Amino acid sequence: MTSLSSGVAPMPTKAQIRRQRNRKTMSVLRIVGILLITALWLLPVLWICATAFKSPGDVISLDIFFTPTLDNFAKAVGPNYQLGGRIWNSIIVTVGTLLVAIPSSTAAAYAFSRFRYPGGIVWPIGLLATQFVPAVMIIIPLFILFRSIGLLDTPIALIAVNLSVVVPYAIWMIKGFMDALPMDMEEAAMMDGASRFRALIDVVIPVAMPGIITATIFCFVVTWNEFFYALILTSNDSVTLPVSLMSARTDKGDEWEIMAVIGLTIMVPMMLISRVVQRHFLKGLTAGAVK
Amino acid sequence: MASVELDGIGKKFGDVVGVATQSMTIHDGEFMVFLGPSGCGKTTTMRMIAGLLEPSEGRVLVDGEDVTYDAPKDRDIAMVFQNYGLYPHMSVGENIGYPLKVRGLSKADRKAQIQDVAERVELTQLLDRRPSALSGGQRQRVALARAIVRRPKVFLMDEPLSNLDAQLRVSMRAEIKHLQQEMGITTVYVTHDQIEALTLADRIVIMQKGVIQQLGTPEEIYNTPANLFVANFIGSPSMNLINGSLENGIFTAPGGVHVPLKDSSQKNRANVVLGIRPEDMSVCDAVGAMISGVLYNSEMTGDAVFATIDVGEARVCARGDRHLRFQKAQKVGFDLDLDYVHLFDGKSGARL
Repeated sequence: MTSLSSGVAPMPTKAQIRRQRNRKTMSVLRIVGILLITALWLLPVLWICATAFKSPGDVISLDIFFTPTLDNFAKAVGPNYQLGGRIWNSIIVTVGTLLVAIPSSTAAAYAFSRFRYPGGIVWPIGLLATQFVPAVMIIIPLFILFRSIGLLDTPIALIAVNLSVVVPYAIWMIKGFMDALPMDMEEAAMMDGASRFRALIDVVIPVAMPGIITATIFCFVVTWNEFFYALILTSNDSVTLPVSLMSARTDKGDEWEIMAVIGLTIMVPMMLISRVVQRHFLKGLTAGAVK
Repeated sequence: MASVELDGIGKKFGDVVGVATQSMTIHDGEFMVFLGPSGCGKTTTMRMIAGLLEPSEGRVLVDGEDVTYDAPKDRDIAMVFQNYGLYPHMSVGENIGYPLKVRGLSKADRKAQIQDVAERVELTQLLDRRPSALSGGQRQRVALARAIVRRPKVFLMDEPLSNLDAQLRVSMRAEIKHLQQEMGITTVYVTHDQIEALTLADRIVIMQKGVIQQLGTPEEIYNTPANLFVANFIGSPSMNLINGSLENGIFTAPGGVHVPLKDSSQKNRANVVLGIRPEDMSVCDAVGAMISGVLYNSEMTGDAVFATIDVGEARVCARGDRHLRFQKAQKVGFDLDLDYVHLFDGKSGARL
């Protein structure tokens, strides 16, 4: 659409005006849609946040305004709910799981990605196939096993079980990243005088870092939220946060405000870590761009 | 500085022969080029020298020492990869210094040597940048610098120029040649570009389907190709090949080919291929010429005119003076420089 008389802007045609108006309507609709969906997702979260600061009386009222109180937190930390200990247990189990899962998954992923061995793809697929077994099927054998070796109600039992869930996924996620890395880099490192292990440490792992971090976030979320195994395998000493939610269901009724406090404790670290890691994650992505 | 010897080396991938059993010696300080079409086994051979690939048979010797089963890191061989293989998470300086770091040199020592090498390849301004911020030619120079920083025994280069544009390729070619001569490091260079091979090499190995076709200096390869494959592969435009027969020292082919050979001792044969390069012929009058036919096409390339004529079933191309002009369907004759006529066996392809 070049105008014949230069210097004079061409008059927009009716079709153009209609198209422009349509575009505006579309973008307004889109923003409204996004807001609706965001509200749908965020409202419960906000509700939990608010509930954590409400007195028991306010919890069941529908009033939006209430006097905030920290009583619930004091009560949650107290002897009835032992929130401090529960947090500690969750941290031990999660950190313990990650400390074992990530290095071993990285090493396994590298091996699966780079070496040829009899059976080939059968091994990593077999590893993933272990996840086809439903938790409810193996929980009783696991319970008996841990009871007989005296590990019931210990963080070690939970770490072991979490590892069995998390490691196969982590291996596959990291393997996918490593498969996409060109061999040139690590071969260059080996020609430069590095052993295979050194090449892995110096070159492969730093470059695969975005994948490893993705796997770490995944493992963190799964382990931190894990409920079922912890419910069965712990009773007093090693109860984790998700299970401790249950303790707010007393015979005197459900203590919603306590549940909200515990729920908040579960959510906040996940949000914080996602924020921090996300930034790293993006940095890793751009640094990895070679070509 | 070292010699490299391949002793009966071969590589099979399952049932597929990557490199057939073969031997060769690369002398101390020599620039050896492996040349061939893709899939001919040249890179496979180089990777076996590097230690990145274990040979199915035979031995690799560096300076007479058997390194066949040594890890790459223990061979003191440096390699430049086709895609450079730079470490994206390290700066240019760290990339260049990595071989020294692995060898446990202190930071100060590393810095001096990195600076020294960076000057040599003109990278001093870029040492703090990441590889992703460099152009193709600069990345190539980083890869080179990383290879030479520790003065290895042997240099391997796997098609190092193939990702560069034509102009850069010419200047990098000169740079590589200059560096190699200055440092005197034994070098093996893999390429499928014959110009690169001819300009860089002290000696060339031409391979096809995993088999060495010819090993010789660029002059030998160009002037006395060992067989039809080499004759056809080297030279642009490629050598004219005419099927015919040999009788009483005279080569004849249908359609007007009558070449009295210089060497009349050749036996009479029915199935012979005569090879002659376009630049070893001169355009002349059709009457009485050794080869004559009807003009098919003429091309002015600036410094020369290439005339192609139909001779029987063959097409023969000759390089002529740049002022030559032809008419459509004109009868044209070529005279051959008999010193550069090549004869090959029609069946085996071997040079006669």
